[in-house]
Amino acid sequence: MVTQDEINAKAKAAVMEFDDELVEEICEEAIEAKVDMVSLIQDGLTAGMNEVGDQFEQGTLFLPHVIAASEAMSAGVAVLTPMLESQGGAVKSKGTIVLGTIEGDIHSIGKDIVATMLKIAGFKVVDLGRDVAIATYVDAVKEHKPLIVGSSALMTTTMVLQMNIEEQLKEAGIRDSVMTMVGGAPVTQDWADKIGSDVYAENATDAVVKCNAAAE
Amino acid sequence: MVSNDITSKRGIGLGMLSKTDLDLITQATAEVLETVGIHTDDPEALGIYAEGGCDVDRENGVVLIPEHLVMDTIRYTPSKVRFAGFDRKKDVMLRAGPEVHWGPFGVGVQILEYSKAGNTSVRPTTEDDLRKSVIISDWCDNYDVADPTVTGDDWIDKGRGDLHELSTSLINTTKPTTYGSPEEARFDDYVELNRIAYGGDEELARKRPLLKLCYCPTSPLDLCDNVTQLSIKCANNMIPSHVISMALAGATGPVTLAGTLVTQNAEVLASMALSQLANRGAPVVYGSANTIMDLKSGTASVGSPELALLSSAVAQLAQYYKIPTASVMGGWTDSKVPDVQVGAERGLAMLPALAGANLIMAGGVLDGGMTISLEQLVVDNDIFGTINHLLKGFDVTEENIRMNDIKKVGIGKHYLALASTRAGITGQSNPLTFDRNMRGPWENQGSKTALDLAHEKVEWILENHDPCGLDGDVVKEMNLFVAGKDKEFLMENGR
Repeated sequence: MVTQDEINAKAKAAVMEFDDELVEEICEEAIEAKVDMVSLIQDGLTAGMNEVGDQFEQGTLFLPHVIAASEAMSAGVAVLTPMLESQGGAVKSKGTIVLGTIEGDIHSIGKDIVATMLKIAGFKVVDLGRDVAIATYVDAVKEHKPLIVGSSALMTTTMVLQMNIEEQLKEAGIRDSVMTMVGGAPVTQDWADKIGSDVYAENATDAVVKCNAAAE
Repeated sequence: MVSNDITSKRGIGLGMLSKTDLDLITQATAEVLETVGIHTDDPEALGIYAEGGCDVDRENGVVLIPEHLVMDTIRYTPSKVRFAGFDRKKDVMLRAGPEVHWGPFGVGVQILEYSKAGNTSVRPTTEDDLRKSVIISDWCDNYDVADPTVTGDDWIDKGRGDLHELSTSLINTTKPTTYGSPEEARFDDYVELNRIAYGGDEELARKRPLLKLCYCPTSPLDLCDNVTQLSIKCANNMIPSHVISMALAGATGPVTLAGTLVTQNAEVLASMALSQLANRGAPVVYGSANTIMDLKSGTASVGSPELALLSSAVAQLAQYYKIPTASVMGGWTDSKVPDVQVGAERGLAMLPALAGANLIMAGGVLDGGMTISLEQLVVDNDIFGTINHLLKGFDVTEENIRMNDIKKVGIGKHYLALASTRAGITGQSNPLTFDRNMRGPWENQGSKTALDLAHEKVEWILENHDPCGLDGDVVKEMNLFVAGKDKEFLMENGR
């Protein structure tokens, strides 16, 4: 029978090879072998992801590697989740972050990258997608009680709607329960200050740094 | 590091000149050579021209070249010339056709000192500057050759500067390199240095000469002894040489570009005729440093669009003759400092590249070639890499359309996680000194300009890159040979 260490090592290697199908196979094997799911996620899949992340920081791997490794890891987590829930176990998360590209805007590639990077960094990410109505952000804050709710906008015409998130969170009486984060090409620190947003993220790396700081 | 893949960097062949234009220029050139002729005082050259069938006026040193001899010259000049590097893998094969290569160029007598604040200063060049320049060109991927960009002015009056320049070039690169300031009377010394560099292996030295020389007719229509003798000596020794006309439209050529194209063509073909008469099949290549005299300022403007046009026309003309081109000036600059003017003028190198000039020289040049900047040399590596990327164009094949990927990703998702995307990373343009960050990260990393990044790269290269491929004993022997010649020089000059 395969040992925990062996299967963790295999999972780590498969993530680093960006092979989502292999990761799924390994996770199925792990379920049969009845190894510890939490250890597999933390010391196998996440360890592989961290290694890729480190190489990204050093400039030896690039964005497509990080995204592909993340997808491979997610494929594994999807296989493990039902078993994990039935075991009553949970992987430790730094906190929940709700993300979405704002109403009227379908330019979501930047937000997708931020979501991936935050997942890698150990956050639970609730991705609302794109063209997200303001009310949907408010409902998501009520439902998931996140640490941060983030909105992205690529256009100055949609950027103004980020103001409405601030207002509607206040109207719902939950503005103080959550931090707001804004990002996107036309968005600046000045804009964030002007509308009263708590965090301005210049790019995905900046988002991770600032969310980490917020989580501490 | 360097790709010599012949399909990788080809111009699209600009059709600026029609076949009728090319025929008209060729006929006019033949008429100039047959009726006006060229001048030389070199008795040996006059003898060779006379024996070859030219009408030679020895008293006035005027040679009239008949049309059939011009056509023979075009026919006998090789359609491919190998520029050997010490490392065979880095050989540059110049073939008649639109394949593009890049090189640094210049005979800079001043070097620009880097300063972040933008307060630039210049000082006279030294042999050590030449060494650094060659090492940097050796390291930079987009330079196919590593010609020296500066002269070693610290040797003026102290020794044989020419041999110092040549040996320092040969020692510090494994890419091909051409020596730009040869003196015909010292030709034998250059050949000897070539032999020593091969550890005395006569056959290698003859078959794969590391020595390559260039020389320039005096426009209009004058071949000085240095040109005639180098034409003859290089031909007899099968040393590859570049013939470069430096006509200035309006001053040493007709003010029209079409007219200057004719006179410079006559000068180059007259020199090539001498090479082919001396030794049929001699490896000569066609160069161009033709431009305009700026008639308002009286200067030779090399950042001009006219230079780019003349270089491109020469590329097309030489392709028509099936003769390779080298030392085709592209995107030189008149600017004295690395600034927006350099960027704009250097970008004009795209024109001869699109025309398919075989070896375009411009890296490092400022101030019409008089001043060199090592940082600019590194920035230019990125400019030429960018142009190389343009030359790639589209590779439209069923495989490259990636229909499976398009169907797999579908609507509204992204391609970032695909294996084919990862495989495509290395194929993208990847400049070293052109920052692609947005403002925030750029400011966080020190708000560095291309020049600042180039300076860091210069320091890194000089710290880490040692391209010398020669044996330690060989280098010692080369240095001994040069030192001996220095002594002779000082004795001859009574010092």
